[in-house]
Amino acid sequence: MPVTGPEGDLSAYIREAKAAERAPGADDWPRVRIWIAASSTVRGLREILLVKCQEARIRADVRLGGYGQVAQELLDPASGLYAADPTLIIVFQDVADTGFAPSGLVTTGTDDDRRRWADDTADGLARMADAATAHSRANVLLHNLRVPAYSPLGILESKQAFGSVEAVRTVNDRLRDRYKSDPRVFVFDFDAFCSRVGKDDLADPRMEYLADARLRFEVLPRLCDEYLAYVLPLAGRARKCLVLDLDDTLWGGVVGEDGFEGIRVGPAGEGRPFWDFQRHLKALALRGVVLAICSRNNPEDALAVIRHHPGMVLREEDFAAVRINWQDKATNLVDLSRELRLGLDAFVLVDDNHVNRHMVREALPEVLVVDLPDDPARYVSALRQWRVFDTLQLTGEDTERGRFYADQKRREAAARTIGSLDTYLASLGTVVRIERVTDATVARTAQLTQKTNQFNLTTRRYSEAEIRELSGDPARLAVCARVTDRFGDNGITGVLIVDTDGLTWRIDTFLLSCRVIGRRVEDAMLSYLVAEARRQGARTLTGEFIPTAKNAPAADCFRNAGFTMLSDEAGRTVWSYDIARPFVPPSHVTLLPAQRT
Amino acid sequence: MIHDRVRDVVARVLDVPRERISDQMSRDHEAAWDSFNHLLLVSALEADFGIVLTMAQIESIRCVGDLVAIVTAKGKHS
Repeated sequence: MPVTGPEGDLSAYIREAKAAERAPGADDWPRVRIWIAASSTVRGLREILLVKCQEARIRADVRLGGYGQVAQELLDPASGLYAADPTLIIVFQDVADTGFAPSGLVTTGTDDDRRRWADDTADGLARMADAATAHSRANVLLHNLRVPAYSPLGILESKQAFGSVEAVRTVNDRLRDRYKSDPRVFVFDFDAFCSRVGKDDLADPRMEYLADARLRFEVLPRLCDEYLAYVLPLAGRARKCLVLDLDDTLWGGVVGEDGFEGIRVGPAGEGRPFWDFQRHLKALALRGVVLAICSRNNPEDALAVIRHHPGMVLREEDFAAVRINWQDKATNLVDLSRELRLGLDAFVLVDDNHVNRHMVREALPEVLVVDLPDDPARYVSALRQWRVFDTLQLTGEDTERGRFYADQKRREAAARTIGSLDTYLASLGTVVRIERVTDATVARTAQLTQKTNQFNLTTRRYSEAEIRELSGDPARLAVCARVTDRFGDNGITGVLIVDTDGLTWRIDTFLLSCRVIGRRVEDAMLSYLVAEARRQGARTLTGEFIPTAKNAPAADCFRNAGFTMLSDEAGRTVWSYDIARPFVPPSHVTLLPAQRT
Repeated sequence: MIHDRVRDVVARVLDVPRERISDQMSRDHEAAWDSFNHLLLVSALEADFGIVLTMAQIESIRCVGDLVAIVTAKGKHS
């Protein structure tokens, strides 16, 4: 239940947090351990973040570092911070705690003093972030510095050769450039956040003097919303699909009543807010968010607008799936969930109609139903607040995802015209290329272990750092499978991680993206593994199936591949395969094994 | 009236049972009334009563009786 009451009611959050700690949520919720290392007093941040994580169905363990201990805790590998083995470390050094003194550095210091300060401060922050990545497996969220809105020099600040405001900006520029291509350290634009809140009103000066609290209590929940944009993808809770209504959502008017001519959408006039909204949606689609339509309408009327109206930005091919009928929205959403093979918790519903929103919220609580403002002029500003689609790295697969779904529609159209399943499978021309995990594929491999729930034998989640480590470990085999077919490239959609120490090889992780379920890619991967094990002199292959709420599709994988069951404890099964037995790969799949090293 | 409202806020913010709250309850002896909760308490009272305390006044408060006195005094001037 979301916390009710005024945002400033921090004591309500604290009570909710205590309740959250007593009832931390279901066992199958993803877990994150967050450590906040802050140079000023941020009490309250811990409780608010805990509550927001619970609202997002994440079991969070949130700890606050010792007061004034930021550098010590980060630079000492034996500190409590590292002992806690966090998944996310937030480093929050306030500019006021960096020796940035108004009567010292700012006014009496020289340009050289300020340059030295900028160098030292940027280096110091980087050293802490780098220590965090060196001594832990965590991702790091490094606050940049709040650029002061006030200078005692007034209008002459901008005429300084190297003034204090420029010095702070320089630190931020250095941090930004340094971590642009770092996969684990994210520079959090705290300066932008402060600007959005209003730098003139960030702190209650009494609290700042009495407790070193540099942010008003009311600001803390907003800061936690920013943090949540990083926590959600870490926990695999990023949403993937935006389901859109049509009338008065994507365009002004009701096509069934106003007709094609009466619809308002386009770069000029009344339709402009809708046109702009569509442009923003298109931008989201380009970064990998899947768009779908769910509308109560006559299909011909609605599709005519989508296909032919000159003011439309989004066209039919921009949507991965379309439900235009007279069924209720909840049923349609469940259908979409099946068609797109995404859980309902991956969906976001956008609908102008309050009754529809309420109905879906009640019927399908896992779907996020946004509160679209009543005034279309505000649609775009509402969209900008949606922070639920963030991923930790934009992989090639994300931007290709939209194209993948268009390809998939063509595959399915082909399936309907071709007779039996075997003929269909054969006609796909599936090629499975096995590759060892390298730098180029670490991100995608880790992403798959974090996000794949259905065809996942053991559901072990790995961070990029862990995958990198595994791939370099000579006692392990870490490979990924790239699947292409007649209609396109599905990208990397399979992962196999095997412990290869000794005569018995143990399958630690075996998963397939749901895009490629149902065509025996898993058998192709296993045939590669058997051949590789044989080549390296192993005798037996073992694997386990650990049941979860979502991975029933993988339960029979080993049985179907001809493995022998060794044990079955409440659904958790262990299997083995004698390498001496031949393994027949599926005939309709072309297997390209990894280069031998 | 003011007395009751002040005690309601104290009970809510410090998360202590209403019956335990007396004018003598003080920062020095009440574990729940640490410096952070003191600021929360002041914030909550300011919001509830529509008043603003100075930093000096915030620091001067040592017990519930002081809270009641200050809220009452502030109320008279609004």
